[in-house]
Amino acid sequence: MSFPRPSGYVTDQAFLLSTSTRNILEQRIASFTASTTHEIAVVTIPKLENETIETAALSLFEEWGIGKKGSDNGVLFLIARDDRVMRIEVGYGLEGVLPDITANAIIATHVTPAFKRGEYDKGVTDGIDAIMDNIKGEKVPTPKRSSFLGSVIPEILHQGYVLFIIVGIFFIFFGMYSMRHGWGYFGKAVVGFIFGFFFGVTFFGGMLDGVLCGMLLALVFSGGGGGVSFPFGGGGYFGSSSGVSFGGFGGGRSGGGGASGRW
Amino acid sequence: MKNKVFIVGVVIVVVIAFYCMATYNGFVRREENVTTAWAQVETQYQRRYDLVPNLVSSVQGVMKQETAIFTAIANARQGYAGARTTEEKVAAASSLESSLSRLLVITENYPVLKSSDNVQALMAQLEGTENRISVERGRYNEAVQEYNIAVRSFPGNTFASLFGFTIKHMFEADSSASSAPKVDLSQ
Repeated sequence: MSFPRPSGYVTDQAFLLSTSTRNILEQRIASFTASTTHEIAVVTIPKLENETIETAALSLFEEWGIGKKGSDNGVLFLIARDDRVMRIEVGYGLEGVLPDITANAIIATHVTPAFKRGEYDKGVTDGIDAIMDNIKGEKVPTPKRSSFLGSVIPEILHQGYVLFIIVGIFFIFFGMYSMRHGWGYFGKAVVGFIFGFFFGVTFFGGMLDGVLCGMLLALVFSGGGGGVSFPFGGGGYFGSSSGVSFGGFGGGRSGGGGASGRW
Repeated sequence: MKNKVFIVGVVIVVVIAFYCMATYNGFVRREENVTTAWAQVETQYQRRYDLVPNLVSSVQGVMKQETAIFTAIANARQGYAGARTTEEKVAAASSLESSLSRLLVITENYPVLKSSDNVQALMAQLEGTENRISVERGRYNEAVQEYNIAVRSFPGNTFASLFGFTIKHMFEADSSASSAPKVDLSQ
């Protein structure tokens, strides 16, 4: 099953919720996330495609990365309308405050009875309130001040092709530079890049580190740097959320914790 | 001219050395990922192992005549406790799994149990644990796959055999399917 990019905390693909409930939930979760950093996603889908609610919830959780990276403090409430089945999937970091028994009880006492009466707005709202009640006390260690290298670049790398574009631009840039200053620079830059790449991969362990070291050494080797401005460096690519309060999920993981229920 | 050849030679040697180190470290990192993933699987196995006595004691009173299944569970649990190697643990865990899922099926026949909060809570925990196990097993397989691809593909494979990295085994794709309860309608 493929999922769209999340446009908010609430994604009502099955049209189970009223517009007002959807907006209220969206706001409530947004302010809850702002104060606790916990992330909650509410997703309704028309039906499952040849899979269990458990595998669907897990793959959606993995794809969206609900919760902050490293803290794994996310919760997914997934509802499959036609299958009349739902699941509360709990990230690793919240398994302590929202154990399977509790998730099970929330479904059984708050959600299922309302769903059986067809009151989806009430069921989802009460369920989310109960989830928030349980997890709001959990303090998550504030993530380290993420550096540019530590947070943004892995994000770029995540989309592998971008990496190649950057490297490409880098060398085109060097090529242009070399045309003016003699091709020796280009050769040195290439050698420097190759060195730096292997150095980076060896000692820092990732393709990304290799590329970064490569670019750095390319600059050093070519004796450049003077007047060399990197063709990238923050801005543009990120932060294009255009005024919407939802800025995407944080890359949290789940290990299959939570509970499922039917109605 | 000689000087240039020398420099080129040094560069090539250094590049090869870096490459070897990178490859080796890559194997180490992937192997470590496999170890971590396996530890997660074992954590969940242990969780189930700890859960079983509670579940058994809470349903045993009602299901007095189902002695066969309780013996099977006790044996499987003992087998897991005695398992030392990874293979033994996997085998013991899957026999515990199959006897537990049989128990779950049998439990359906006892409405008294279905209405007991205690049993329901334990069932929720057990289901959660089973789900976690399948998740962590899946991730273990992914880690093994990544490792195996690195070990087996050229040119890494020459280094792999040189450094003593051998391929690892995944969980069988049907390991959960084969342990699913079999319902024989002919009887």
